[in-house]
Amino acid sequence: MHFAETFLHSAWVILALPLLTSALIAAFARSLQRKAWIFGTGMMLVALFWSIMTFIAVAGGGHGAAEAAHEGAKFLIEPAWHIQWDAWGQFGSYNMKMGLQVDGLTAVMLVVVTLVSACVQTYASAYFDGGEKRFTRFYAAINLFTTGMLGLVLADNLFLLLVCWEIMGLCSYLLIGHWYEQEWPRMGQIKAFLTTRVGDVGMMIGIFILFFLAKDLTWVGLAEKLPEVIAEHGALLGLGAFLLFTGAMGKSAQFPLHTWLPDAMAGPTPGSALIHAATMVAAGVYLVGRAFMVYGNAPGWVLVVVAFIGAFTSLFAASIATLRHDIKEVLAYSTISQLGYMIMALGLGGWAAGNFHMMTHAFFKALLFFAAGSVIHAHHHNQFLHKMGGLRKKIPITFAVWMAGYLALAGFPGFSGFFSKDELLLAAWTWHPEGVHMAGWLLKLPFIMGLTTAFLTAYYMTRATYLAFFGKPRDHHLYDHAHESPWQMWAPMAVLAVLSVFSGWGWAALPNEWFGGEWMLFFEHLFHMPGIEHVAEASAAHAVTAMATTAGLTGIGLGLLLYKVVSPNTRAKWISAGKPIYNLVRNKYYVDEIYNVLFIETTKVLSKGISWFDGNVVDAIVNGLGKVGTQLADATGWFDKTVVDRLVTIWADISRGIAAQFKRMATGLVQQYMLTLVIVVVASVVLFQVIR
Amino acid sequence: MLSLIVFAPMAMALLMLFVPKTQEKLLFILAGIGSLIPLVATLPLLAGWSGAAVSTETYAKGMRFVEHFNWIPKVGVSYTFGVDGFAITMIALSVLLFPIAILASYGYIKTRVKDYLILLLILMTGTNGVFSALDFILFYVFWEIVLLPMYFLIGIWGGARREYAAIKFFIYTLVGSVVMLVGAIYLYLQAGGTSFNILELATKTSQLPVTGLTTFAFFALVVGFAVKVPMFPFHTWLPDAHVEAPTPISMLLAGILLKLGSYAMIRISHPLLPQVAKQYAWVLFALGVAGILYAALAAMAQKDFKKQVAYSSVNHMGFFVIALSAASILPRDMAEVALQGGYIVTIAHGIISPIFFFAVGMFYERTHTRDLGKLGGMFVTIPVVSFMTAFVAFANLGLPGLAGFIGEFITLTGVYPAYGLWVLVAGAGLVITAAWHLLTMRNVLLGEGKKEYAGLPDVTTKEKLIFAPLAVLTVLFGVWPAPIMNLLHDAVQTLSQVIALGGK
Amino acid sequence: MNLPIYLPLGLGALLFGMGLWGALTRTNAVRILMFIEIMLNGVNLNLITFSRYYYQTNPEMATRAPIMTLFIMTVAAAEASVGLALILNVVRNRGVVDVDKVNLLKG
Repeated sequence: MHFAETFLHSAWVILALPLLTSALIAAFARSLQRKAWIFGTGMMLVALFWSIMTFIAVAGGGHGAAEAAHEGAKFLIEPAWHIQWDAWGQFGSYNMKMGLQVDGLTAVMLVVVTLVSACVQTYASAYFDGGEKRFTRFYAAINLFTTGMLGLVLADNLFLLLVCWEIMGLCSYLLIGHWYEQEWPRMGQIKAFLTTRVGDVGMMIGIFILFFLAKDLTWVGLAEKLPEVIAEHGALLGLGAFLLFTGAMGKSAQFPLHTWLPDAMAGPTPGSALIHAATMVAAGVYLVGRAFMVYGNAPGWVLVVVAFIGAFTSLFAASIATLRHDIKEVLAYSTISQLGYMIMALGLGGWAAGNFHMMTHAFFKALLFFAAGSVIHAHHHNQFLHKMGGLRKKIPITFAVWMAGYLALAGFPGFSGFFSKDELLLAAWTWHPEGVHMAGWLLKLPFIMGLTTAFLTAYYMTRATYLAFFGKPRDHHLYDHAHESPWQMWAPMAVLAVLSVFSGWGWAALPNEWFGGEWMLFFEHLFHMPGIEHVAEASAAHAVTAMATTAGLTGIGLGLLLYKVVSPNTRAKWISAGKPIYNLVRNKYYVDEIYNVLFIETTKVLSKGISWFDGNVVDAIVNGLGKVGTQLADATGWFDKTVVDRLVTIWADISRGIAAQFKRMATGLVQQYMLTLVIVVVASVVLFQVIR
Repeated sequence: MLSLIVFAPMAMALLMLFVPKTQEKLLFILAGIGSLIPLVATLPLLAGWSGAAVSTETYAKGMRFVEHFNWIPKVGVSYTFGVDGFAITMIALSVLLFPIAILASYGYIKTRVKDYLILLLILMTGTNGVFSALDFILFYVFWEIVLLPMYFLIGIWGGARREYAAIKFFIYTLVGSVVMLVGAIYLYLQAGGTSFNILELATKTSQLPVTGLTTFAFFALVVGFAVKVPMFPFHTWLPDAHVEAPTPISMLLAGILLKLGSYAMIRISHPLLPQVAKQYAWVLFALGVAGILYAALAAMAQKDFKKQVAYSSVNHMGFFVIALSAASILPRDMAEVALQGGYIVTIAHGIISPIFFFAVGMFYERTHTRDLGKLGGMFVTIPVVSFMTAFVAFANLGLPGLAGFIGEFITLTGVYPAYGLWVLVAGAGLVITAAWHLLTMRNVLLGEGKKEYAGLPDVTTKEKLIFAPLAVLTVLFGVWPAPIMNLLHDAVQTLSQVIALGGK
Repeated sequence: MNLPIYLPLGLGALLFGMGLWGALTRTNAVRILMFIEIMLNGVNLNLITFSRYYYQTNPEMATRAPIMTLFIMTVAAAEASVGLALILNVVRNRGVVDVDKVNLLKG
């Protein structure tokens, strides 16, 4: 254990390795070329090893002593390792320190992220064909992304989390637009960035509110200070918590900010597997889980809202997924739906369940994306389910791992998804929100929605599986050329398949009852959150398990019924019977169209209007003022010339006229002058006498 | 030392008068030296900042590296230089940008090189002088010194509509500065007419009651500065000036000249009349927040790449304006946060926007167009230039981890307590800013490479040299803003104290 | 011998009036000059008369007027010579001595 501790106490290396890798790949892109994958994967394996050792150190305990330090602080898992440094200096009278910390949740996430990242890098090396121009760019971006995600889970405060959050957003943008020559990736990347940015602005304002309330953004500080302000600023804290959640809604593609994720599928599949399935989109869930001291202390309605948004999203997205034709799009909506599940669980107070599902989901959803990528790769980049069929014989390994992921997602008993979904639904069943009074049926509504989602999930996954792997080939040309993927692709899939099947046994409540074995409750202990008491009667747990299993199996059954038993013609008849509903769901409830009108077109019109206003009104005022100025000057000039000058010339004219009169007196005759002189003198004398 | 920083370029300009104008290379070398001397002279000031003596004299309270001589004692005009955190950061920015601009001019400016360089050096003296002066008259002299070279630099070396732009710039700023002078002289007389020293004035004028005349004086000052900032609705000279100005001048215009306005607000209008500022803070906030949204939307609709970037300046400086507005009504601890944030926005903008303009210039030099409809697929054609552009675009839209974000984040942190959810409007501005950056990148950088641009030369060493220092600073301050924070800290505390004591 | 003052004053006035009449009516420039001299002498007579009358008891002041008169006479002589020279020139250039014909000053 001491050996593992050394790794825990240098956990920053896990963060530094991918960053270094990314920089090196970017710097030596030309000389590395396709060898970048070896370098990237190698470095990531080191990071994975480091993470596993850290995980072992954390899971092995030994951080109980530190727990006393913040005793009484609810909703705070005491970090097993924590460092801080001064990156900000003073701002105002505050000094915001940046820091990293590791606790149980972080340790799990570290392993998940580095593992999936290593898998992705191995997988991508074969996925990209020889003509790929931006091979190294992909690897640099993936490593940078991994840095961001690792930084996010290691961050000890909201600000650093936000920074990493946006770095991931940037990488997501870059990877969606990997093939930016085409229109779809270019639009998809902008849509992704902007939609998440809308959430991020809300999140930033949430952070401002939290800073205003607690004057601190570290998890420890928030957990300590928020309970003190709740009495005075309860409503504000609620608002802050909700706004923080909008960030999670953007990142985790929750309704109504979910529209970007399907379009993110325009990127290369390995990138989608890492970013848009396993890790980045889970960051929103992680945020809610990590910042639970905010939600736990906030008024109860916030978590209720969170729960219902999650529940609604999961149901909503699952229903859309039932009618998608693109294999990646099915998975994308499935991801949205599953993320909604986790969000719901967190909102319902099922903190451990939500995080546990986040972990299992990361494994099986990455796996499904890999498998889908392998299918697409084998099928000459065809993604349409209706052109596939019967592929199980052509690509058996891919088929096998797909089945592992499929059954895990569908919640087939014994697979990882079964256990995590079970815990999640149990949390929904036993929900009792604090400080919020609700009607009885509302209390059970999330559970019903969750159960329906479980059913739909099983159904659409069965549908996709059947269409892709069973039945007769629908496009023989593509079928004949299908080929199994090389080892770089199936090896990572195999690793993830094993985890998809077995990782659920880390928290297998029912088997634990039957067979015993403390290790089966490992994650329940690891994900213990102070302040949340998870108590469920055994009978309730059994009932939930039974219901969940039934829902899953019914879904699988329905899928088989519709696609194996019922003929396509009958299906078409049924579809035309329910045409309006079919169209509504098929068109994704027209959300994209509504947004297009409501936001995009409006903004465009507004911006054109403003620009016109600037050019034709503000500038016109300025130019008009200028024109008034010049015209005023002209007027002044005219006035000067015609009036002022005229005044002067008039004087001159007058004096000239007078002078003309006087001129006549100047005869040039000396004697006249003299006479005048005499007259004047005499007159002066006389006048002088008179006056005196 | 400050005098050296201020006057060395001017001295070099005088020396260059005696160099024949055919010796272009020599002229560039001399101009480079003239602009590097202040840079070298600034380094010890930065290095010795925390150890430097802080003046306690009334004419330079809280300032460092003070130089003080009587000039026209009868009316209380003195030659007083001194810097605090607000000033030294701006001086550092200025002395960094001018050598870069001169390097960017090399080979780019081909006509009347001698006149150009001399004007540039005079401009440098003007900006450094504004940031160093503590006496209002001295300040005003430098303020006007800035105006003239800029007029000629745009009017002679500009684009097609250069004369229109130059005159617009000139009249706008001249009207602004005259209005400002009127306001300042009124305050000088109100304060007893004994001293033009800004700090001494402030101690008296900040206690004046809020009357019609002090309000007038405040807005006279603010309008004078707002034109330079530029603050909505006094901004329309900026897009024209930028579009017509040659690239190096655009870099300076965005990097330094706009900061004259923000600096002057921090140094003059708000310390002098904090009580009025408090009462009319909402006016500044309304204009600032309107400017953020307005400029973002206006930028989105532009067809001209450079005009877009110019509007983004209005957008960013709006953040400074709302920070200042918030700082004038908040209690001290949050006011400090707002002030620091707002000022960091200006610094970050001073680092990022020059290279953004430079990036636009790189495209223009190669393709001879700035029309967003005509550019396209540049990532395929000239990848390195495109990468640089993408980098700076992300910096400009406020990506966390780069310098632009820190300031916006702290600003809004500080503004939130003052105006509550009105920050959502600024937030909407952030989203729209991001939107047009992305759309522009899509138009210019992404897509298939265009045939007419095939074979364009990629980045040159000179361009890398120009780009690198500012890009490094962008990243550095994005992850480690502590150096700026610590430089500003004292000054922010002093100013927030002045504001808090105003009218009491 | 006490001459009544009105006698020399009357003579002076007579001389002045005679000179004035002549200067105004005659057209010959030389004559005008001569009449002007007569006017001057009338004035001189007046000057001496008043001096004699007022400064009988003050011999020092009494000498001033005669001295002034002598000056006037010498200046008048000089003036006359200049005047004659002018007239001579006018005659030489224009061939007339009649002032009615000489109107160069006409505006």
